[in-house]
Amino acid sequence: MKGTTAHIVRTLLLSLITLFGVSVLIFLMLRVLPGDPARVLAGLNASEEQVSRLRDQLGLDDSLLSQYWSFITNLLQGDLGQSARTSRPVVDEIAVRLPATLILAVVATVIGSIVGVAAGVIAAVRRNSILDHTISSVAMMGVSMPVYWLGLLLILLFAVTLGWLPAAGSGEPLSIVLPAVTLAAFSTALISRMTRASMLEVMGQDYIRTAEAKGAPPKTVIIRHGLRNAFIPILTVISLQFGALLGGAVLTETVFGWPGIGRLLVDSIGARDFAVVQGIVLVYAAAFILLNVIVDVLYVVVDPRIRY
Amino acid sequence: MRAWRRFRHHPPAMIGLGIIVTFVALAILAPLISPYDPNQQNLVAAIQGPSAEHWLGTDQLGRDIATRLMYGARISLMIGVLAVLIGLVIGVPLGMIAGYYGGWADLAISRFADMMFAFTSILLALTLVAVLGVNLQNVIIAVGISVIPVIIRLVRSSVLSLREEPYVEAARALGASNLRIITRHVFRNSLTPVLVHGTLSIGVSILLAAGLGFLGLGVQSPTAEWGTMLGEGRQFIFSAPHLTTFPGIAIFLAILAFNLLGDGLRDALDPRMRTVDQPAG
Repeated sequence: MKGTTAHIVRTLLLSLITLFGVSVLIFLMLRVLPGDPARVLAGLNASEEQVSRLRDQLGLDDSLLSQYWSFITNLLQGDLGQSARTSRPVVDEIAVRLPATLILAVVATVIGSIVGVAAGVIAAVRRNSILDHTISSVAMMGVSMPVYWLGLLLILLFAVTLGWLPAAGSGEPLSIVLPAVTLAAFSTALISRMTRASMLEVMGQDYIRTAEAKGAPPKTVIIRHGLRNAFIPILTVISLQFGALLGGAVLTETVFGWPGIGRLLVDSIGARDFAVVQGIVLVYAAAFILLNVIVDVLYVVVDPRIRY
Repeated sequence: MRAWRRFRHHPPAMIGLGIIVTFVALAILAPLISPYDPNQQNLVAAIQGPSAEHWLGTDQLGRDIATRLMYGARISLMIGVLAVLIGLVIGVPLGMIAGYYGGWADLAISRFADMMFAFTSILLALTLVAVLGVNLQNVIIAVGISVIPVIIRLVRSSVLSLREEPYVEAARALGASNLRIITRHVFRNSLTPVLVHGTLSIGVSILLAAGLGFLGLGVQSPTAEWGTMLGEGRQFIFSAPHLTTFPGIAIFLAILAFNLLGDGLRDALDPRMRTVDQPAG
């Protein structure tokens, strides 16, 4: 267990370095650009007075190092600056929108995991059957599908033609169905491909033949002996997909007018509201890094073979 | 030669190759096939459905959609190929150094890759374009940069396993320099995964660039680009869905083609190799 603890500590340290690097990158992005960062951050409609106040606040006349120091100390105190569009703190803007994105990503991940794992297991167990070929073809199309186009097609079918579901917004409980399914499509396809490959590898192992020879029912062999052992790579894809979904939500939220931080990001880029852009990118990156740490620790918990 | 035979008898790969060849031909021959100019507006003929004069109909400004899609193929294919080249030119050497030398070089380069991964490709490209300014050149740079971390990780892990191979050991024992070992032995033997992933990455890059276009942050109008066409056609989704359907099909087919080709190359060149699809927008 000592090695395991050391491994987790190492993972945490490396993640902190990555997080530090990300903060430096984001900090530099606005400052190496031609033009005055204060003017950029203050927004298009800011008065001269507002710009010079912000310049003082950011300490733009100081050295880069001391600027970064004040950036990072503010950040650690939860101060990400002010939105140029609404004059509200960036943290508040993000906090209001974050739950919508999280709900969407969680629902999409649940759909993707259940459907993806089930389809992948079926395809692997019925290898080379018509069912396998169908699942594999659909999965191939799924990973090639642009989410924004799929979203539009689903709107056309279910909202316009059939009139079953709302086309956009988040006013009704059913509003989440189309964006969640759209967002889940790529992950479902990816997870089913990974599950199939992983299951095929495991099902060829000796212990599977042993279990079958002992007369264990097929269901037990597939789930207890097969899936459990195939689960590590599947878990990796699922958790990394959750991170990718948070990012991919940018497009889905735009298609469906879903009020999450993805759409806030696109709107903020459009309005050149860079304080908000900077804040959202930081939140995304931090969430992604945290997720990776969790996955790494989960490995050790889930798979008793992994010991460091 | 055996690889070529395997490739030829791989129906999905041949379908993929066929689609790509068709797109390339349409892109090159566009001026010969179509009598229209891709940017020629004709407001009298705006938003028409498919007909004999306009095979795929016209858009909101009366431009011929089929023509714009053919010219758009030039842009999308160019972005895909150039972005992947950027990714390879920067990613391959970094991955080699990290994998071959290990130690501090590996620590630094891998942290760099992790950092870029943390942005996720769509956010990285979005932010870069937002900061650099929206035009074709910056879209290529932004998408190219988002390819780099995947290539670094791929090459690094491939080199890590090659480093211990007997022939590398032998070359070292014979007194070959590190540079010679890397370029002569390690590089050549990691070509297969790079080729396979490079092919898949072209599809991912086209998807990403079209996503930027869809958001209005990619190649700008009036240049015909599939994602931008889709994004602009979106406001007519209820009255004229063909404005979005045809660009959507084009993007889908292009990505499908590169995915099929990449899978086929992998099966033909190294049946044991497994790739993990990259997440994209």
